[in-house]
Amino acid sequence: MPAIIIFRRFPMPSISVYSTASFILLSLSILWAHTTILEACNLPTDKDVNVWTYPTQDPNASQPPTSSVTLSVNVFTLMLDEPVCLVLAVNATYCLLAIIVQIIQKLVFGKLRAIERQHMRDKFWNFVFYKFIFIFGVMNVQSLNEVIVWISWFTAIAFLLLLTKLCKDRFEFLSFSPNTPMYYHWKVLGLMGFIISCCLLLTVSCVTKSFMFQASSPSYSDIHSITFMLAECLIITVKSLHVIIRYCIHLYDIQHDELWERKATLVYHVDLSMELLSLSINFVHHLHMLFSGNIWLSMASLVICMQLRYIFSEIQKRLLRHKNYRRVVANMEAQFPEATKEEIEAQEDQCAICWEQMETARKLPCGHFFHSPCLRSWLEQDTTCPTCSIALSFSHENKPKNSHPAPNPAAGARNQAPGVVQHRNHFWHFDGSRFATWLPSFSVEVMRTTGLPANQQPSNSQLDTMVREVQDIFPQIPAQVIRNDLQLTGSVETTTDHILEGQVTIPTNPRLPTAPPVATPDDEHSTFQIQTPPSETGNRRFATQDAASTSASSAPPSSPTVVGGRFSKAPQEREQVLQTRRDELIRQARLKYLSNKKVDKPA
Amino acid sequence: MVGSALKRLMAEYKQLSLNPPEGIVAGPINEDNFFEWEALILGPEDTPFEGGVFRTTLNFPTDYPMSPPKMKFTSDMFHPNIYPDGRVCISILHSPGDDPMGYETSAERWSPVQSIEKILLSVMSMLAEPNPESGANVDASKMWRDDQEQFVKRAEKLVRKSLDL
Repeated sequence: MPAIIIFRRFPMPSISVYSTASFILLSLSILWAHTTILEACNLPTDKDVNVWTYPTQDPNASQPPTSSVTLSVNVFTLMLDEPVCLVLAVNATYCLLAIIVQIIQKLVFGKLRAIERQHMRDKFWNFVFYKFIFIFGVMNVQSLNEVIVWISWFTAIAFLLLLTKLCKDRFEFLSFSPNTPMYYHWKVLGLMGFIISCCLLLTVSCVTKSFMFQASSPSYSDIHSITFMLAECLIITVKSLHVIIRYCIHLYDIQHDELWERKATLVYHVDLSMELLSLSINFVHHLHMLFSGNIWLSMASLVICMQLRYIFSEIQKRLLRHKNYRRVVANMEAQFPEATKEEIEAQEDQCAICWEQMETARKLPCGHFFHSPCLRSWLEQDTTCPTCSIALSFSHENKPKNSHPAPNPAAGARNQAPGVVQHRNHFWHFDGSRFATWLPSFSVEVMRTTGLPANQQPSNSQLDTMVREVQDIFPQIPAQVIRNDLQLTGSVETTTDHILEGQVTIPTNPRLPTAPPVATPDDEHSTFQIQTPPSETGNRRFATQDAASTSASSAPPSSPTVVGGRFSKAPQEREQVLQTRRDELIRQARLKYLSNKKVDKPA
Repeated sequence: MVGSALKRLMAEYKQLSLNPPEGIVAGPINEDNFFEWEALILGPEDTPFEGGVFRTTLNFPTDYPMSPPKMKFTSDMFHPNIYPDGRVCISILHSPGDDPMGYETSAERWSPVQSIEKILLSVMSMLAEPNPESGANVDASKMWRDDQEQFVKRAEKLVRKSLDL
């Protein structure tokens, strides 16, 4: 928006200049009011000046007001009546608020990051724009006093809203690092507590006000205003509550080292309910705005309709995501059974997604194990096995309905497991003679073949040729390792890539290249047909793998570039070690480069 | 899910420090933000980029490892698979959904079992063997195909520049 750009270029006074100026102006106006009243009291005969004294005052007001309380009340009422003084007073209040904001920012946040400042600015101008429309478009406010009341109300709301947003941003940033001192978290959380108590206070006052109105005079416009105010309060309350709950979950999580499996589900449901709640309140609020005033066929109604459309699409998106989530969870529970304790123990491995130990896990038909929250997050965006990228058939609508009523879900899943790689072929026939005699008849058959069919392993001789092909490229890699990888990938290219990417010899993730030691009962037949007797293969495989891994791990120490090999618990030390390793790498590379140059030059 | 992403990044950092692959040093730029890393990659031997130490930055999404990080060379690069602005075009950094070049199979795409180490090793092998078919830098692809000698000279300059020599 060009207006904002102009505003940004406009030299803004610093806060100290602004506060000094407004303080001086305010004291001048108080001084003026004070002298006016004193003059009015000293000249009781002058009727014109006497008008300034407030009508509710004592009839004996002609006496000079001796007590300081009555004097200040007089000054105050006089200032309320004089528009210039009123504006100056409001300005001074803003100045005070700005100072409070500055203090909070210094105390809690320190220097704001660029992204936070950007968010604040965007949110602020957005807020100003919509509230301007609200005040002049929806409420159709005419008198200055009303405008001032509404503006001060929205200032309070904006203050809370912006602080909530800032806390949210800061929370996300603080959770990016494991080394954030605890008192940072407590400061932000304390501020959030302050915000939410303000919100609750406003909400409660709105509710009591509305009851008071109902008791006294049911004026429609008042009830509407109170409902608007209540909706705004509720929205901020929900937003800040959301941040607080998320924050508490995060703090609980970082204080407990062990894996918290239900965290993901909890966070998801908190997010879902809070977002839906605030969106629906917002939706109702906007509908109310649209129908309350006589604003049909005005710019304001257009803006509100646009906003309504946006909120509606947000709700729709959220619900769609939730539907997808539900489908994934239902499918996962139906098709991928929980692994038994023995299976997990035999696996002796971490979850390849989060790299944490597995206590409970789900087993995919291809024999890979994952934590169920990890697996769920992945399946929400893709339907392949993360490790071997085999396609997992994901029935869209019918399967979950059919599989749920099964009395024994495990048995149901077992029946479905072998058919997980379903090659859905489409057959389409066009019979032209039905429409015209000269039209031809033909049929099209679409066959879907995935690159990695698990139950269609390449036959033995094929596999041997493929092993030879790969070994031509990588003579140093044992044939058995290549064979194992080929059995999984079924393609020379993919295996070659695996070797190039280091997935085959890297000992930290041995599950990828090797066939799973514990084959699923259903897969057993297909896998073991190809392998030589399982016990022998297993031993040999691990032997060769060990050889490969030792040869790989013995290489680095001989290289000059590897320094360190230490992981400190203290962040500063870690940074230092990393820096020395960086410097060392560069130094070594320079030395090597220069020595190579020297060798080159004489030659 | 920032929490799990952070734990995973920490685990990867630990592994890359304890057991670093040859010619790779990687870690967070600043311990205050574990979602921005810098990695140094040594140009592989017997390639045009031999001996250079190239700086890259990795930007991780908050849902890592569900989505891949964004990788960018901050050192000057001239390579068929690196965009002129430093972004790396390599299949392991693409989610299974998107396929800018339209030729990759999903087997070599990003999946949560991939890791920073695997990305960096793939980038290293990409430096060794450019793939002119998925040209991110058309000039570099053309030079690599038509005029290897010139390409080697250009790479040599970059190597020297990367070492501040």
